[in-house]
Amino acid sequence: MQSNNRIILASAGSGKTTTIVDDVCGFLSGRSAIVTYTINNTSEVRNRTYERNGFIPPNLTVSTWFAFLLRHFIRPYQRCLYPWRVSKMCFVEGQSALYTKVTDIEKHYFSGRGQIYSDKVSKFACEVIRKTGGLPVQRFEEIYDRLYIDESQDLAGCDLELIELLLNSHTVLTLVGDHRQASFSTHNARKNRKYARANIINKFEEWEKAGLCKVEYQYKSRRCTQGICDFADNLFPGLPKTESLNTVITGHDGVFAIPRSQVPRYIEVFHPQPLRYDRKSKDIPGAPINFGSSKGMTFDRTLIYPHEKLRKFLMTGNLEDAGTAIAKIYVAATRARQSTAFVIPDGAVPASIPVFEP
Amino acid sequence: MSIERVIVKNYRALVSANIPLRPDFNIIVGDNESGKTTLLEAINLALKCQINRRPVAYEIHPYLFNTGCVAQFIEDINKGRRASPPEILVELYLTNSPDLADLKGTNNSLSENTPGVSLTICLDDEKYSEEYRDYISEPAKVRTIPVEYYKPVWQTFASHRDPLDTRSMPLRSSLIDPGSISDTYAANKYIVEFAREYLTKQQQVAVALSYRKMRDVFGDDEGIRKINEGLAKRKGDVSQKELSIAMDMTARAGWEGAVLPYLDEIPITLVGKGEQNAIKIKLAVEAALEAERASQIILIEEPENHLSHSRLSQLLDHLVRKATGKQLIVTTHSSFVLNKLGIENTLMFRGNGSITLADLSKPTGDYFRKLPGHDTLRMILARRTILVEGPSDELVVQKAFLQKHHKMPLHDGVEVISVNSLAFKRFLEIAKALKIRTCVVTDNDGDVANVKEEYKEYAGEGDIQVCFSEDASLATLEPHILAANGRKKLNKVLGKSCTTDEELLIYMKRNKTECALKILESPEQIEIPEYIQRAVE
Repeated sequence: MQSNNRIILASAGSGKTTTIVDDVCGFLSGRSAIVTYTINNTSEVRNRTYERNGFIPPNLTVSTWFAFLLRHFIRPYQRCLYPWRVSKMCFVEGQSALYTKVTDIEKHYFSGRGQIYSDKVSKFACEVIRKTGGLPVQRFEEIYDRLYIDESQDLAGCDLELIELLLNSHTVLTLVGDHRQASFSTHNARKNRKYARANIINKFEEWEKAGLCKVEYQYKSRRCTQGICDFADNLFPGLPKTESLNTVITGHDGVFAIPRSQVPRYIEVFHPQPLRYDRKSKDIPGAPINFGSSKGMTFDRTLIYPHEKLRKFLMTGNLEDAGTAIAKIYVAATRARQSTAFVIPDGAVPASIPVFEP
Repeated sequence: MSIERVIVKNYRALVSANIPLRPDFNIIVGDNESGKTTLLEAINLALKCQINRRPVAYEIHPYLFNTGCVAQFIEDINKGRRASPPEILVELYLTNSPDLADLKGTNNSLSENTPGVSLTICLDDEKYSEEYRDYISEPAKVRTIPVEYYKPVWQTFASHRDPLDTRSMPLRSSLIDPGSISDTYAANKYIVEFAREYLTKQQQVAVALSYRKMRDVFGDDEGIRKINEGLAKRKGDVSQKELSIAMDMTARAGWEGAVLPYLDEIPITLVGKGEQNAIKIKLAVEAALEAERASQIILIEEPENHLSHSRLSQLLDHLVRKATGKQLIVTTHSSFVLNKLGIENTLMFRGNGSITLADLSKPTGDYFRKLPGHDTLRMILARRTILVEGPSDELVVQKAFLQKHHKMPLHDGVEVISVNSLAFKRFLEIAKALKIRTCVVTDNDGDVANVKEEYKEYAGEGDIQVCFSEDASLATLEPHILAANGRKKLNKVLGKSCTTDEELLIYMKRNKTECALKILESPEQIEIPEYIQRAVE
């Protein structure tokens, strides 16, 4: 049987969210759920829906991945494992409760009564499903005809196990993502580590081979001008090149380097959105956004304050110099429609991008 | 879409009730204070999280809790025992259909995988655990439940909180209570309800708009303007600011407070109570069915109130016609309602238990299906029942009761029901199921062993007593009366002058009812046969 499940891998700016929203609003009957990774993305999806449709269709729910897991895959049948309502999440970096036995439900999964460790939410969900012989999945397919998962490159660990169960259910799944943007995983689990980060594409292809879904690629960017696409493609040399569909010409389009002393004037002329690697980058004018948080956002122009490794890469053009945060750099570089500018020290000469002096 | 089962714990009169419901009509019969109304209230509570149309959170008071469980809690605390604070629980188990899948899960007291909603009123131990600890730290001072520290938790069986805040509560209900609407407050409440359920959104907006315009017109009125000009001149008398009068424009002064429905130009508050009640029920049913999001569940409390027989009949016909395909839950005292809506649908309710005909054995169920509702209802509503074999036994039992207690049995809530002796067991089956104290008075027909054998299954039933004479030589009532009182006295009571016992006995047997009536009406103290005396103790 030909599966209706789809995995769409697309470049930054190719309109993934738009694709989902268009698809969802096309269905007048049946119920749909859109699941995103961050709360920002949830509101992005909502806003797009309002823009396109005027209102959120009553047969659509939009939620974050964690809220989604709690609501449908944990709480309805959690009693088989744990008597108290799983009420909230305890956010952990890295792995929680490392040296506890999986069978010690209370210690392994919970930091306090009803507070589940964020890295074990999907693991617990899978455990509930196993224990009840699949009741949560049955319940879910009774409610939802279609499930869309945005930023699916960020799924990891037991998330993948759950998705696999859902690919086998009556609910039609559409996963969209860009494996180049795999900047965070929903958690740092050991399980399925071989599929973590950009390697997640291997898992997707495995599913396709097993007949669970079709994997589609879209290498067209509606957002970024060709110059930005080319710069971003260089970060992933082995992958197909992106074609820009943005034909707007403003006279200042592409990727540039701005000497630090020129920044005030540059800001005055172009009003770019400042982006920074993280909070540690100081003395940035305006309201800077971290690379990671900028995911899913679009601006006309951006001004990027590089961290040490990115600065080095800009100078040498050697990808090895860019460190492990390639995905974050990719995200940051592809936020702008027209121009992406990097702040460099005065007098420095980048390897492949032109210095711009306004 | 309907409620299959209701579980109520510790809510008012209901300590622990587990009531299965039918998907169509349910007629709940039971004595006053058996908790019928409470059951309707509880269902409405779990569907809407409201009491008296206000959010439960504002309406939690100690009397919502079952008095027995409160007393137990206080006693435990006073005596220094550890006790968990009482909780109210109402659970509605719904039909397992795909459109309710969102409400599905195993978070219910039966751990059943089914759609449903529950309302728990419990100690908010996340917020108030310290306060509660302090509260019980002085056991002697604990007099009641600390409801200030309580919260309602309203969730689906999927453990999703506040189901009405989202679209996940597809179940709509209307509670129609016949409370009179004679006072203004009740009338306002009624208007709001009327508007919410009968007028469309657009109509409501139109009324609000017209009302606001009217208030503006009031201010522009010549008379009012002159008054306000006058008031303005007196600036400084009461305040440095300018005083004027206008209609109340604050948000709370909505049109609901100033508008009333009229029937033939008479305000509804002044219409007769019966008419009011019938109208109210019809309107509510109409509204429940035709609103944008129609109710699937209609709860009606005692529709017979204030209605004449013929009005009630019309109303019931209307209900049956209109509510087809809906779940209707009606409480009643009226055998007429019972017969009209069908004995099949009757839920005989008593405190925490209930039975339907389907729960009874087939012959018993069939028997009551044929019997007019009246006797069945008498049995269920009675505090105590005495079953006898015929009218003469009934009259003599009444005499015995009168002599013993100086009042008629009915005054004490004791029903003396005369049934064919073959049907005793049918009634006893209901008595046993509902734990109704019941006494059977039967003839031994000259074969004591046979009677013993016949009723031996009830020997251990505390609520059931079978009274018959152990004297096989006295087979029926009449020889017993004669033996107990003698010919002379009976001749006097019956106005006879029989010369032999045989002659008197033949007369008595031929005129059973007449003799029994004379015995009942006689001013004489009658010696009552021992087995009957036992029944009225």
